[in-house]
Amino acid sequence: MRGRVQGVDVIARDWIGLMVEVVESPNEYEIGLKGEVVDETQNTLRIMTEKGLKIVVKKKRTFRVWYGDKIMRIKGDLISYRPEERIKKGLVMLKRAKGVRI
Amino acid sequence: MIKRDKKRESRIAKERVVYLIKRAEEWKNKDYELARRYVELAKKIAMRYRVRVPRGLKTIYCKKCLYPYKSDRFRVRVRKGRVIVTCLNCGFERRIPVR
Repeated sequence: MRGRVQGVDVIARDWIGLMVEVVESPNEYEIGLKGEVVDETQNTLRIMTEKGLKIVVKKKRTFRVWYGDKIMRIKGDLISYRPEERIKKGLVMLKRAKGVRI
Repeated sequence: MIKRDKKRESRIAKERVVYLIKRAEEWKNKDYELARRYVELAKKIAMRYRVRVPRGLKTIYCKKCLYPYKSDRFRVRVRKGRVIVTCLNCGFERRIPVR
């Protein structure tokens, strides 16, 4: 069903300041890390957790994101670009995906 | 070939620039280096999508070294009809004319 999906443009938005939890990861010790994103590079997220600053790779991981009043699961491969590049690439990616209108 | 939606891009870019610089202002007393990183990201976004940094937010940070102005790391003097803001991290002087 084609419909308006709200909030998916989180791919193009700022991740700094969002609450994030690692849901899936090839490294089992990373699963369950939860906290606020403080910084971001092309390949990693820096997350401020209760146990201190943790650096998590974006690729091959799945994140649970609290964005506004929504909770979403987002694959890390979708956001593995530089933060300033993601606006352009994220929007193009959403346009290419079928069934998603933003 | 998919056409880019440039209006939407610049709208998101504008929001992100404002958000990041405001966040830098909040964080400058907790983590000065991180605050600088936020300003750097905001400037990168503004340059790439050709968005202006709003006037009020422009004078929050040093134009040269990008550190936000923080108490006892900057100086404000009035000289020859201009307000002169000196950054004490890098020594850069910003001159703002007084009308």
